[in-house]
Amino acid sequence: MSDATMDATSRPRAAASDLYRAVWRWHFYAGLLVLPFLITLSLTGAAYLFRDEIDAIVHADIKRVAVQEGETLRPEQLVASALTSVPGRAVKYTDPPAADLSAEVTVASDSGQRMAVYVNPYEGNVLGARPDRSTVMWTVRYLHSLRYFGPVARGIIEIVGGWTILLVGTGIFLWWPRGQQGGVVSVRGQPRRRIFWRDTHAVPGIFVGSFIVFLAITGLPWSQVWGGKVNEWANGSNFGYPSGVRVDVPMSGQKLTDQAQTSWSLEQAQIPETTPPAPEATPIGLDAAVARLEGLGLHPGYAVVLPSSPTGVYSGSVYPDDLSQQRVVHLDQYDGKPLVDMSYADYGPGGRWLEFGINTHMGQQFGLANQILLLAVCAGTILLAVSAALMWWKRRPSRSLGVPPMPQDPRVFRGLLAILIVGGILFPLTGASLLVMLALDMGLRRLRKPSLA
Amino acid sequence: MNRFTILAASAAFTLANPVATALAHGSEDHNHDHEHSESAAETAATVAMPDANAKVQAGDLTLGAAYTRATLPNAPVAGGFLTVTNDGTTDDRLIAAASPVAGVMEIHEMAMDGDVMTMRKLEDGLPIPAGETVMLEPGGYHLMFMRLAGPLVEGESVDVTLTFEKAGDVTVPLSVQAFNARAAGDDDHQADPHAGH
Repeated sequence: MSDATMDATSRPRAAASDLYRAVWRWHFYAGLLVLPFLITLSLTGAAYLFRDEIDAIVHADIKRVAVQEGETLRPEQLVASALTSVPGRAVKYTDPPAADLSAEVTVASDSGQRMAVYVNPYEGNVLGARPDRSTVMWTVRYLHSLRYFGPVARGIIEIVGGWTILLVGTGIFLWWPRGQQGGVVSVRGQPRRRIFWRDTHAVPGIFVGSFIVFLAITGLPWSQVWGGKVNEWANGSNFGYPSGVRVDVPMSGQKLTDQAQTSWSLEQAQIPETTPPAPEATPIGLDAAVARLEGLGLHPGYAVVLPSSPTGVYSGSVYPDDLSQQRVVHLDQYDGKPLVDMSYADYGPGGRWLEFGINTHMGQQFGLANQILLLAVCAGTILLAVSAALMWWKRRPSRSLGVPPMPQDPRVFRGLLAILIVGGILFPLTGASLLVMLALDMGLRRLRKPSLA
Repeated sequence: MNRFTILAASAAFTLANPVATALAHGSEDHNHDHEHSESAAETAATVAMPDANAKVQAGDLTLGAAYTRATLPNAPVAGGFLTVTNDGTTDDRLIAAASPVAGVMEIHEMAMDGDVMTMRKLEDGLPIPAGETVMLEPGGYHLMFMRLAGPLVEGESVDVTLTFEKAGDVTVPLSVQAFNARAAGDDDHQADPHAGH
C-alpha cells in the first residue's frame, strides 16, 4: 500500500481507499483462482492459433504430399485405398484443403476404433492412420477447454471465463489514474522493487484487458453449462437451422455435430432423412455426391459424411476461415438432390455476430494479422500472470497469504455486490463459485477478527 | 528378368502359355473369367494362381511366400508381400520393383507407434543382410502397386520384377489372395461386401 495512489487529497480519502481495498481484495481472489488457468489457456491458445501450420509440420508425414500435375484421384478411389489399409466402414471423407495436403478418410474400423486415414490424393497410397481427433492440435484444443480431463474440468474452465471478466473489470478500476506520477502508461522503478512489477502488471494490463474480456466472452459459448444452455435456447428451433432455412423434409433426429465438427450455431442442427427408397434404388455414390457438392460451390476442404443407413444422406459441410463460405448441404443419397442447404448468410444477425466472434477468437477472421494479434495477447496474458505473482510475492507478509485488507466500511461492497449478483445469475457456474468465495472470505474474516481488533 | 530358377514344379508356368497354370490349383473353385481384363498388359500378367509357396532363386537369394491381395472396388493401390532369404555372405538390397499391372511400384514400410500407423517409402531400398530372412508382410515392409491398370482379382496372379543391388533382376509371380489375407495361401477370410461403400 505504499503506492503513490494514496497520496492524493485527504478529504474523501477514507471512502475512496475503502473501495479501492474492496476491489483490490476481489481482484486478488479472482487472480488467485484464475492465474494458473490463464497461463494454460494462453499457451494452448497461442499454439492453436497456428493449428494448420503446426499440424502440417508435426504430422508432415501424413499431412503433406508432393503437388503433382493433373487430376487427383476420385474420392471413391481414395476411400477404397483407406479401407484397404484400415478395414472397416468409411464414415467421412474430407477433401484436401490445399494442393499440398492429403485427403482424410474417417473409418469406423473393424477393431472398433474410429480412425483418421490420410491418403495421397494424387497416387492413392495411404500415408498413415491414427485415432480420429488425435493430432497434436486436437489434443491442444481439448487441453484448452480442459475437455481432455472430463466434464468437471470443463466446468472449471467455464468458471475461469466468468472470473476473468471480473478480473479485468476490477483491474481497470485499480489501474484508473489517481493523480500518481507514472504507472499509467509508463513503468516505474527497477525489477527488484515491487512498484516495477505493479506497473508491469497494470500498464500492459490496460492494453491486453479488453482483448482478454473479448476472448472470455467469445469462449464462453463453448462452455458446458452456460454455453450448452444458451445454445439450446438460441438454436433449438427449426431442427437446429436458422429460421430462414427450408427444412420441410423428414429429419433423422441425429445431430450434425455427432458426425462431424460443426459451427456453434449449428450444434443443434439435425440431419435430414432420405425418403425410404424403392427396393431397387442404388445410392449415387461418393463421387457423384462430391461432384454435386462442388457444383453447389462448397469451399475446398469440405467434409462429406457418408450415409450409414438406407435413409441416410450425404452431408457436405465446410467451415473455412472465410465465414461467408460456411456451408452445410445434405443430399438425398439416391437422387443427389439437396434436402437442406444452409450457408452463413442464413444465420440471423445474432448468429452472424456470434460466429464472427468465435471466428476471431480462433484467429481465422483476419488472417495472419488476427493470429499475430492474439499471439501477442497470449504473451501479454502470461506477462500479467507472472508480474501478478511477483508483485504479490514481494508484498506478501511472511507466513501469511497476504490477502489485501478489508475495507473499514463494508457498505462499499454494495455496488460491487450488485454487479456480482447480476453477473452471477447470467453465468450460474461463476455465480455459484462467487458465493463459495464470498463465504470463504467472510469465514476467514471471522477467524481473524480477534487478532485484528 | 533372367537369372531366376523355378524350384517348385507347380509354379512352372510361362507368360506365353497361361493354360499351363491350370494344373496349379485344380481343386479350388476359382473363377477364371478373364473378361474384365482387356488391356494387353493385364492379360499378359494376369495368369491363374501358382502355388503360393513356390520359391524363386536369384543368386544367393531365395524368394518365397509371394502374394498380393484382391483390390476393393475403385482401389488405386495394392500391397505386395513375400519373404527374401539371403544365404550368401554379402549383404544385398532390394532397390526397385516393377509390374505390368502397376504404373509405379515402390518399396514401403508400415510402422505402428501405439495406435498410430504410418507408411513411408523406403528411399534407399530395403537391406537384405547376409544370412537373414527379410519378411515383406502386412503391417511391415511391403511392395506398393500404384497406378494400377485394373483390379487385382482373387485367384489370379501378377508378376513383379524385383531389382536387387547384387542379385540383379528377378521376376516372381504373386498370387492374388483374399482382400484381407494375412499370408500366402491364406484364403479363409470372408470378403466383406460392404467394405467398398
